[in-house]
Amino acid sequence: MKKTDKPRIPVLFRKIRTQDQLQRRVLRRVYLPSDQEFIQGLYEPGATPGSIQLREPLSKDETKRLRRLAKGVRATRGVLHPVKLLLLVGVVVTVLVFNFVFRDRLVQTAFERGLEEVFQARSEVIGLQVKLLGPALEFDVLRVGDQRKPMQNLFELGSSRLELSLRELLRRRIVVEDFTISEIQFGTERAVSAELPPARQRPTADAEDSGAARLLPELPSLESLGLADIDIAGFIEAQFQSLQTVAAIHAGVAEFEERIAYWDTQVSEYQGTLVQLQALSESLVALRPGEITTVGQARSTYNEVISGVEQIQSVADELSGLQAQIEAEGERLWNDVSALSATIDADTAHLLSLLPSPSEAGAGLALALLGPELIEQLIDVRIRLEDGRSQLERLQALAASRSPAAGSGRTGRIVSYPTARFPRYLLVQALVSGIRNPGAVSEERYEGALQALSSDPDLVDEATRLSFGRTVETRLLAVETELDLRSGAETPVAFELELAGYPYTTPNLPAAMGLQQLAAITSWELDLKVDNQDWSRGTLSLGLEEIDLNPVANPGALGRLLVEVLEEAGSVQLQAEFAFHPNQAPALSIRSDIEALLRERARGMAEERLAEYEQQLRAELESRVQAELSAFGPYLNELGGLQEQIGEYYEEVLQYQQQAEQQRARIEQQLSAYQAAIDQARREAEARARAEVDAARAEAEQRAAEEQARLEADAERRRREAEAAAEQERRAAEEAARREAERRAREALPRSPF
Amino acid sequence: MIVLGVGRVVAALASNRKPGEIAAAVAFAFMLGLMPGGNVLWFALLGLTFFLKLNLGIELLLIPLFSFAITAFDPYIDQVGYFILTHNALYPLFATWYNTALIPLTGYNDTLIAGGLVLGILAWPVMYTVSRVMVTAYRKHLHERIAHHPAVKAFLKLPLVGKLTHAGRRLYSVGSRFR
Repeated sequence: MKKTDKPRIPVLFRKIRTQDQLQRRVLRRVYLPSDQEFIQGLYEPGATPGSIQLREPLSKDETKRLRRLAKGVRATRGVLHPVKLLLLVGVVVTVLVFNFVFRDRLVQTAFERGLEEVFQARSEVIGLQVKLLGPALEFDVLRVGDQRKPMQNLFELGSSRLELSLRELLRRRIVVEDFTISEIQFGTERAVSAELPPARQRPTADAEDSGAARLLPELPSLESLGLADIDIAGFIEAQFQSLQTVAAIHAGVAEFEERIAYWDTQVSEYQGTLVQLQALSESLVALRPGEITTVGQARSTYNEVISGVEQIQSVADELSGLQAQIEAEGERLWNDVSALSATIDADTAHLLSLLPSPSEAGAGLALALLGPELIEQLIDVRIRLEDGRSQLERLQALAASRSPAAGSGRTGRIVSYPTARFPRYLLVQALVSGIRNPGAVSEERYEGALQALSSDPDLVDEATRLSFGRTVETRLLAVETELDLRSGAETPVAFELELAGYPYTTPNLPAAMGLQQLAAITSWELDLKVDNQDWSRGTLSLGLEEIDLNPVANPGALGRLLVEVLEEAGSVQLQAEFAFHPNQAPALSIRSDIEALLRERARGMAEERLAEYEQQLRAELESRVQAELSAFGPYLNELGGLQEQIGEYYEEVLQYQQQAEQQRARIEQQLSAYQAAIDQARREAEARARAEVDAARAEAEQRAAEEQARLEADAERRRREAEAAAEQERRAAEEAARREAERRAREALPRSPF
Repeated sequence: MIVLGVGRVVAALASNRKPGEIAAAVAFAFMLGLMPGGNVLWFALLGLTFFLKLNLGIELLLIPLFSFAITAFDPYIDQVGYFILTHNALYPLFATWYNTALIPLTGYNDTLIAGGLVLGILAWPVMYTVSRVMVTAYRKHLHERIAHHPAVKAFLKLPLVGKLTHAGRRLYSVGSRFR
């Protein structure tokens, strides 16, 4: 057929005959008004009334647009995509095929990951097969590494089968209804470390956290039992600084040091004083009494000499006092040091009291001997139990965890419904039993069971129980463990262990015991319970038979005692009670049936040793004290030197004093001579003065007499002159009075009229 | 991608497709945005929309946008979900589901999933109706004006826009083979 360039008009549009068909088949499915108008415009009325037909001819663009619209109309029909549905079927088939091919590998990886998460150690599953019918899992080997010993497996299972509940599997729960294990081994070696990468590791409870480790400081030490060899020198060395004697010596040395420093300063100061005195003395000696010419000069010189003598005397007195003080105080200090014998006696008594008393000898020896070892074993058991508990808790965490939504960090709260009968992970029961080396002497029979291991014990309402038993020849091992993690459980962990006929060697005996090794056939019975307050309490019964002791070359008293007593007893039965807690003071007590015998033998031995120790202690202490006293030597030498120095100074001052005294005597003598001359001169002067005074007095008396006569003559003359004047005045007065009287008499006469 | 996405939305709005397809895409995107992603129920719903005739491009574009915006309302969704999951009347039903095969795999007992699902179902008709009305109104009143606006024409003539449009059409044509 010839192909044209013009596209064909879609059938949908060609079949339209009426307006109703156009509306129903096309326009109803065209949603753009412009497209609707375009389609309407393509039709024109037909030949018959009511009919319509496409107009002719249509352009190429119009035809193309019609084809696109027809495609759109077809696409909007219905609500489902049939092609996509087919695609879904294809995807489902692909998934099923993929699951069939890779199922075992996927499950194996998930299984290993789960085990590693729970046990926190590398785990390997070999030969895993998923049986859809059942359903069930089977594997040839399963190895779970030991988190604490990465080069060992915690356990290794042989060919095993897990029967799962299909019903619960569809509910996203893994319920193992039966787990049959053909063989189990513990502690097998690993070629590759079981340690997980750091990113996947979770912290574990350390041994220190178990609380049992803190039992160790509470154990009685061998020294405290009065049996261990005591290093007296070391003992005194340890106690020496706390002794009263040492304190007194140190105090004396300090005082000596202080006083000598003080006296040294004083003596040094006098060195300068002596230089001054020497200069003073020389200046005094240099004086020449004969050259003194005046009394004033003599007196001045004398005063100078007296002052110098007094100054020298003062220094001499001070030096004498200082010398006496140094001697007295030095003597006192040395007396104090010499009187230490009483303190030494007290210290000796104190040290002796610290030595173990013979009455306590041997008490608690069993605890000291086996305590550390027992505690180590208990810690190990406790750690293993805690590991088991942690593993169950991690199983719970694993069950509670969900894969976060891809690309979404949004998570809400998970509402759980109590009617769920099964937890997410449940192992109803696992059984193992087998025989190794059948028929041989070393034939080993074992059987074990694990029940109700779940990620939510509350749902199961049953504690997880583990039991394991093994017999090899005459040896027997039986373990019963119950881990009850149900909320409100009073005893979350209960553990019972019974061991019989197992050879045992104590690996870590203290050196003071004098034993290299203690080996015996042992039987253990351990009953341990951890309550909901985290207290681990229990009892341990340990029997030792066929004891084999291997003492060191020089076993010491304790070693000899142990060998003697244990050989005599033949066997030992120990009963221990313990209680420990991560945060509280622990307790451990051990009783043994050889306690009385041990104490009796130990007491006598301890008494003898104590007497020896006492002698050693006294000698050692005396030696040490003497060594300490030697510290005074340098100070005593210094003291002697100071005393000698001060004596020399004193002698020198005395010499100066003597010289000054002599000078003073000379000056006094000179001064006396001057005084005598002065007295004579004074007497002569006095005599001359008296004579002069007498002459002057006589002359004065003569002059006085002459003056007296002259004065008397003058007085007589003046008297006569006065008398003449008075007579003259009297006459004048009388004349005046008479004239007055005459006047008055005339005035009294009558006046003439003329 | 953003330009392509916006172009797809504009193209869808302008194409001759049912407004209901776009409205359903918006409503489902809102529902899926309300629920936290990555769980079985979420994927099941998304898968369901894959087989429905709706605009998958718009849906896939809007899901992260809604999801991002709705995160702020998670506490309220959580409360709604918790109310539903613990409601006395529904509790027995959910408990039964919890013990029924396969259903727990949906994670329905997550408060955000349950709350988001219920709110999404309730919001679906509203979102659908509003979106449909808006698409119709756009096509009727706005599309022609926008398409013939000189600025839009000038923009569409840009070489880069032309290339992107061409690439988008190629992509669309490839995708349409699977419709």
